[in-house]
Amino acid sequence: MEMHQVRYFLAVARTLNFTRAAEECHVAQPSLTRAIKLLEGELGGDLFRRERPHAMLTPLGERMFPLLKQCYDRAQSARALAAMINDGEVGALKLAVSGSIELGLILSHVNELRKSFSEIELKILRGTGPQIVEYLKSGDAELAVGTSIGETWDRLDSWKLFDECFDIVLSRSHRLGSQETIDLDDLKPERFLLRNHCEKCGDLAAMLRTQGLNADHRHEVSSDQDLMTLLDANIGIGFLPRTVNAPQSLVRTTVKGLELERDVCLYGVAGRQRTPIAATFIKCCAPRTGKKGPVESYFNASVNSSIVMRLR
Amino acid sequence: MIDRGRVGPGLGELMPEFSLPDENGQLMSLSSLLRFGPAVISINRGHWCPYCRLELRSLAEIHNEIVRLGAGVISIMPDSARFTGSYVAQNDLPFPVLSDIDLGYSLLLGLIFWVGPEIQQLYKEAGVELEKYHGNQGYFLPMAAKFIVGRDGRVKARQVNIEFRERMEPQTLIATLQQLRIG
Repeated sequence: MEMHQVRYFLAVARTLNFTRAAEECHVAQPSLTRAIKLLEGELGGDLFRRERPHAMLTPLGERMFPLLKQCYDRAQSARALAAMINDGEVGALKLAVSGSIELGLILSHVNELRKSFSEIELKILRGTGPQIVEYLKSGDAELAVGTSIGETWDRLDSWKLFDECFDIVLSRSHRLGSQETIDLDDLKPERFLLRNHCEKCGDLAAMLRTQGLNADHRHEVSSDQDLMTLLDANIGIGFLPRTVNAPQSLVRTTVKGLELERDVCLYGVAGRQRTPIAATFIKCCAPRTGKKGPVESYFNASVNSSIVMRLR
Repeated sequence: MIDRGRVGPGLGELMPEFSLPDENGQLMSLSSLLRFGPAVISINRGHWCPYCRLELRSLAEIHNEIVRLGAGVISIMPDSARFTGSYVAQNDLPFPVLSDIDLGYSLLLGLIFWVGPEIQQLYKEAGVELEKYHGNQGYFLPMAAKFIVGRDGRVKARQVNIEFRERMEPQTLIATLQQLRIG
């Protein structure tokens, strides 16, 4: 059974007209008829009943239509994928990144992506956790980077990029700014700065409350830039994920009893077919446990085992 | 150069690209394999086929020598990762087995055939559940075949097993890879 035979069959099944199908497939009608006859020979029966100028599907034809279409579509997309990879012609990577994540954190993955595609196009959208879920739902973004957004919508696939803890950040001129260690009691009279754009904001407030600290009368910001500005002016005490940079003028430390962690993950909508660039980006973001891709793993394993064989 | 069977990519032709999942669900492409060296691509009928198992075991036996000659091996079969995973483990296969989902790649190669209703019945009676293994009701199968593909992406040797008990002998395979090394 060959691809062109299946293509012609699908064209006749769709148009119900041998002449029109031949035109669509850019072949002479006798060639198309001959190909369909070969297919009928292989399937052991007629696929069409000809009532000139029309053609009707026989019961066998009707049964085989969805099966052959499924197989053909799969082969077509394989062919298209190969062409895209080889020509370096790919669509854009549409990525929604949570406001609490610095873009620099995924740059190494983006660079990895550039090894597979000669030209890449990036479309970066920003938003809070709920906003980036909306981008995924609407298709404005194909993938998203954030934390804990899987908890708001269960139709997400996720791949963990890394986990990190939060530091306490305050101005050097704060009364606690030059203290060796800060403990919970020191923080009792303090007001905190919470980042609204951070998915962990709620958890943070809850943790403060549990430790008897002032969670309700607090400052709130919607960007890290604003956080730094306020901290610089010695307004409040803030929390920052370890990977988010802060100027040297601020003090970063940890406080026992105020431990908060987050998992930063890559997200995609479950069940949706991925574009080649998105599929490759997912592969590039595979957990950084030193795990190699499947091809590298296979070859490393083979080489190692053959070395062992020779040594024996 | 071995060239048996008149279907499928011919000698000197470019082997079509694929990007198929291995038993862990990770995608492997032909171009990524060829970056390391020539590839021996074994098209197999399924984890249920006793002849294919013999083939793959014999490939496993000469695998070290194949690797020493700078090449790699992969098997491609229609069965989903659910079935290829345990298959690789049970048979101690040192190379990946990729799932040709919906037999798209086999169709691209022109190696696909339809298991007619009589054989379907025989398979069912023998406990071979193609629908389950493939995840579809097409009852298509690939003709077993072997292709040796050079780093330039072209077919250097091939055998398509129209008679499914035939296969490319290990000695022939090794000899071809040795020649590729020199050339």
